Amino acid sequence: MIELAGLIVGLVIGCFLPWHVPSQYSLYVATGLLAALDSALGGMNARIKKTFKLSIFLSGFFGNAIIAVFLAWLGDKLGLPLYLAAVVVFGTRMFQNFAEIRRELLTSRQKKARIEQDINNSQGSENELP
Amino acid sequence: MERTKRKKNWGELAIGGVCALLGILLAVQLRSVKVNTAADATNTGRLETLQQLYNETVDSLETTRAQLEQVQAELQTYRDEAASGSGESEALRAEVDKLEMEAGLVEVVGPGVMVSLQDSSAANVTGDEADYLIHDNDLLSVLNELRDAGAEAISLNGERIMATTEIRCAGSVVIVNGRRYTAPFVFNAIGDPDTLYSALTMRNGVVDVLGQWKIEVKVTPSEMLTVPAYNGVIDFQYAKPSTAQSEGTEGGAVG
Repeated sequence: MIELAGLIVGLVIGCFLPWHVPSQYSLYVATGLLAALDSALGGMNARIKKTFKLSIFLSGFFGNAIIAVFLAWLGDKLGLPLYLAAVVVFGTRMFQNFAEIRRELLTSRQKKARIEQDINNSQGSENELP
Repeated sequence: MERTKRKKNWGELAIGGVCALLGILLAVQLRSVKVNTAADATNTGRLETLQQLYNETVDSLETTRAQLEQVQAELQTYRDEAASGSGESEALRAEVDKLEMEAGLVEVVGPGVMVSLQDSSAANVTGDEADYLIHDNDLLSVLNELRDAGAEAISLNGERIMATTEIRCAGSVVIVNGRRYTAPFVFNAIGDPDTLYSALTMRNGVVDVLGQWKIEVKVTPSEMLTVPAYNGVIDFQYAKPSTAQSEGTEGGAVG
């Protein structure tokens, strides 16, 4: 929930900020954004799985974004669209993270239901015993 | 227990903050992309406006040209009227006619040669397409040769070559008297046909050199050629007769 709230707050703030990105840096910002987006999804995934670590999350968020921007910049210098590497990798990982989140949320409810059912069943059988 | 809770709070706060940062960036980028696309659209719009302006200018040019013809016809009648008087003005008129012919303002006929140049038909072996096309240099060397051989009046693709005429490549076209022409190029030169013909076709001459690039140059002597008059405006903005300056006359002389 807090992710969504943060995102919305950010979007609102961004809409009212006076400056905007010059067109020649647009590609870099977009690549960095993609990496950051992937990291955010990854963090959400980890939180749901209860394996979240703040240091890992923060280093991933900023590190991935910086490396993605660096790749885009290097590609520009080499005349090779290296930013595509970042696009492919982070794009794929976003799908993976989303799949994991989805599975976790759906199966956890099933698990909970089954546990409750088991408890009910055992209670019911206890009651029937005498 | 409390410590882990606090840690968790920090984590949530960090995630929230990072997501807010993400949102800010996202919004800024989205807005920028929108602005940049709008700028592109403006450029396209500008292009259309310029095209329209160009068309309008071409139209007005046509109108002005028609006006010029009309004014020149009027001038002619005035001249005729003035010349119909005394013997002195008769002499003046003869002088004017001679000068007009020299300046290229009247159509002239006479014997001469016709030189036509066509782009090379040879297979491209050097890899550079420009080697096989006619350039301003080629046209200028032909022109120079014609003048050297005593041509009295020359036209290129119907444009009279005058003292101020330019022959210049501009992309794939050649500009003559401010108008664009493409191959084939045809020179009409009035002069002694034999002299002109030999001057052009001598060994290592202009035609010979161009022929090595398989540029098709045809030189045809003719007994009767027409060289048209210059049909533009001569506007001297800077040059003035040196004697006139002391008298304090002003304004550009218009021929």
